[in-house]
Amino acid sequence: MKNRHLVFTGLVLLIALLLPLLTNDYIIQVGTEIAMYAALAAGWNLIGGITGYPSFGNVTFFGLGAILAGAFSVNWHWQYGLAGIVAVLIAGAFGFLLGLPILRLKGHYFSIATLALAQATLAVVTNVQFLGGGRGTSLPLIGSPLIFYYIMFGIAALSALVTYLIVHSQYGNTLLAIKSDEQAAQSVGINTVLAKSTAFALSALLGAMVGVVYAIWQSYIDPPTVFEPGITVLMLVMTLIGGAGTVAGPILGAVIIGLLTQLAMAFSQNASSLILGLGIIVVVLFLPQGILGRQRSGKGGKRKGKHSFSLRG
Amino acid sequence: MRKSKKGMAWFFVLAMSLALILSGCGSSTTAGQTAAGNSAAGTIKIGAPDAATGSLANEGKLVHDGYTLWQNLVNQQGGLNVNGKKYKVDIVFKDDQSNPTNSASLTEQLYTQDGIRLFLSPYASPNIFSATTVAERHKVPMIAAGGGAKSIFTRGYKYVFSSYPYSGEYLGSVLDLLKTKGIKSVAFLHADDLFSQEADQGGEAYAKSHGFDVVYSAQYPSNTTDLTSQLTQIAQKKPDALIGTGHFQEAVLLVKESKQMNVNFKAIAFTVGPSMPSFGQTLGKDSEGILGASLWTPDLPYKDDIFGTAKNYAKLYKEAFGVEPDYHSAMASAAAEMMGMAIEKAGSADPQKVRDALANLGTISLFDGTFTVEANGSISGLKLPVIQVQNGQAVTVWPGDFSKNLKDIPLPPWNKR
Amino acid sequence: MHLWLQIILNGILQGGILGISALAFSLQWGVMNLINLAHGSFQILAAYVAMVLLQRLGLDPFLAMPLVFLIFLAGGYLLQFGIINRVISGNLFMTLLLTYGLDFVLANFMILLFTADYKSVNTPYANSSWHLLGFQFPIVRTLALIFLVILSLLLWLFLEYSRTGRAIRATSMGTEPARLMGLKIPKVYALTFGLSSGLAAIGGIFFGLSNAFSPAAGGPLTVGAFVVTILGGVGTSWGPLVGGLILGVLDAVGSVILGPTYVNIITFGLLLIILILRPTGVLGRAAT
Repeated sequence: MKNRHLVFTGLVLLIALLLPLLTNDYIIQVGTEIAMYAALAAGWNLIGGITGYPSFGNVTFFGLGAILAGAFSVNWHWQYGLAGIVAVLIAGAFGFLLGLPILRLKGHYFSIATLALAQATLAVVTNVQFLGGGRGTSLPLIGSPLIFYYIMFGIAALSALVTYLIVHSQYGNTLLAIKSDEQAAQSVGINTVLAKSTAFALSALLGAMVGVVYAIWQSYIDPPTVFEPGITVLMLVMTLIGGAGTVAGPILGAVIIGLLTQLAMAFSQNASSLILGLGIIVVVLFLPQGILGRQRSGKGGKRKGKHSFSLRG
Repeated sequence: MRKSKKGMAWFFVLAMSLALILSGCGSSTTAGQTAAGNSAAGTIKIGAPDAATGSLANEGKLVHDGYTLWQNLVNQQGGLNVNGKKYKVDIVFKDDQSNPTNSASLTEQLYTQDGIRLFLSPYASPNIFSATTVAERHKVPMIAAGGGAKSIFTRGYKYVFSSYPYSGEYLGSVLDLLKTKGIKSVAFLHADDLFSQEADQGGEAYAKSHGFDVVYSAQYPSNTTDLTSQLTQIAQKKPDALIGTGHFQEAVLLVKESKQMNVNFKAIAFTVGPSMPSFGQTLGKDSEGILGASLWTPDLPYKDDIFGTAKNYAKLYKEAFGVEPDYHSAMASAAAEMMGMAIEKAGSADPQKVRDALANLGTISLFDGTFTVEANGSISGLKLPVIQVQNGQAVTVWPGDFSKNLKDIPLPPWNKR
Repeated sequence: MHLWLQIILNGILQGGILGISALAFSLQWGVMNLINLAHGSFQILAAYVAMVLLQRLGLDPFLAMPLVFLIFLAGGYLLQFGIINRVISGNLFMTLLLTYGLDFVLANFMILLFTADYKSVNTPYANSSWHLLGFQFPIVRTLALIFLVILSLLLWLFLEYSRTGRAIRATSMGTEPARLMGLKIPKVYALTFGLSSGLAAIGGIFFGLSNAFSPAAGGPLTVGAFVVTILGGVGTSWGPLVGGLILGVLDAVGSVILGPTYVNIITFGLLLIILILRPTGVLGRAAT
């Protein structure tokens, strides 16, 4: 089993690293987008899949990373790298501090609080000229598609590594315990607030990192676009298709959705959105546990049977 | 069982990626051939990552039809004349779903996958921003037809051109017209997006420098569904005119709610809305007399070789698509026509040569007017018309002699209509 | 003074539009724990249906309302029975995702059917208002508020006193007790979704009368319903009314004092604060 994992990981890494040698800029562009969403989905997975808090507003951190990095570099003339690092740290702190009150909410209420968080952040950004206001921020055109591919790929790999380390650590067990029964976890002396907020902050850090790179890659930051609720939904869809709570799930999901989107766009000009919507419905009806989901829930033994991440209430 | 399921999943992904990569390689080689041998095929391909779905689907369709009309006419007339040889044009559309990130990746796809080296833009400034970055990276020209945000052209890009004037210039003609009608005080309301902010700021600056009294100015969030309280507030200041800069549905909302709140103005003008046929249909008689900043109307006295007069353009458009064209379509056709002129002038479909030709077009006259292509790719000198809704139709009431068409300014109060 | 009274009145009337749009959303959430992300698109679809009935048959939207209500009731019933029930007992994400997919399909289906052009339900009275005591009462908004009060009352009576209503309420307490009472949960759910689809359609007709709409206009309506539902309290018959009024007045007053550009900060900031301090809303049961 372990060997199989290693072989798969190696194979995926090899393909991803060699991809640019074999192909053209379009494939690299698609690869960059897939890596970007893989990293975002993996970040979502930390809070949504492993900890069991269905965030509907993780795009907040993606947007914040992009907006802050852009604002620092354009308005304060910071080097983009420095601006990016500061932006990521601020987004992480923002996630941690907001996590403290928001993570007290359960189920739908948590989902909506995070959705409101994203919308409120967008509303603030739109009204603060320093952050680009409603006009957005234009960044200089630097780097090459290949560089962005490797950076995004690096972030995706980092996300997977972080997830792997968490899942196989004591901390990961804490999060899983919170997911299966938070009160029980609390009663055995686990500081659930700290654990949850840390997971949210990690999720924020990864999201912001992607946002920072996205901004300079696109070279223009349009606030409504980087706070688009659909981006959160994509993170969610990808994680669920691949298998929530698993290491490889979000990445697998990102690859599948990414490829399907491109194929849909290639085959049909006008109906690609329609096809995507139908695709989501079909997945929900016929693949509700995700591709890798059921398999892991059976083996860990830490989760309860088929309702492993039922969050109703 | 489990192992095989997971194995299958990865196998599926690998197979799919491989298929995509192979198809990518496949088309990139054919792409290479077509790029080099565009001429051999007798067709020049132009890419357009334009919205067919999503929030910009409406404007995206207008732009699509504008591009298409040019393509069909050029092909009917035998094609573009490149060094004495005729080439058909083929505009390849891809739906960006109104999403700027998709605009960029589709431009990339059109470039790499389809071997396309010449581009027309999607609609709306954010999408143009994204798409033009890719064009600039690959050093291929893209003509923007759907956004005049100044910041698109202040980035120092060399491969971005436009058929639109700066957004900040939209309201100049409207204010000139209002001046002749004795309007002194104006209230401004605008949405918070890039285009609306620039158009409003340009308008307010113009108003102040031309002796208007700006008594109210506020920004509202895009897609707002209620502005009654702003209108109540504006009513207190009793301005002569209301100028709204936003989106179609907000213009409709402002008219509906002005009437509901019985807030009367001597004149009402919008940047987006009145020029579109659905404005009159949506509002019925309440749309009568409302002014619209426009970029083009069928009445303008301009003409060119492809479309003939502006009036003839409208006729051709109506034959092709069944509706009257509004300026979105006309400006898109003008952008496509600029591309055609540049290709003919360059005597080649080579992107660098076409880019240089575009940069050196200088002052040209098309069916949408006479204008100059500036060094940064924007255009200047276009005389912007103003339209007024009369019997549900957009009637040209500015510039110059068209002002004799102007009716009902000051507007009758809502209860006298 | 008169200015402020009119502004508060504007807020109250906007509250009617907001509340009537949230009625269905709140019911679905309260009873089935279902967040219907396609809610806004249902409403837009209803607005299109009303528009077609008006244009083709000359049927006034208010006369068409019972018909549209029944069409949506039937459609909603079938949708829930055929599709949503299959995943509703699973986990939370799945229903969210399913309705998101539905929203995507509906919105794009409407583009194919009605084009992306803006439309409105245009009746002679759509833009008129009643003038009373020196204040303006826009007809459509005023009627929306009156309808909201009546519908809330009817809903309350229905849930409180009818057999079916009690079954729905019993189900909202939890599926296990309801099952023990011998209720067929899938049927109750289908009925609830049908009923709320009908209510959503009524809200949609009001929206179509007061705003121009296009197939893409559903998203903001769904988000608005979210806010109103939380403010008023999930699963209470009077919640949408209370939530709508609070949001309407706060936005109206806030947009005048601070400027309309800050309305979204007020709206979503308020939502966050309410969620953190009192997640069950103003009328909701105390947090457990």
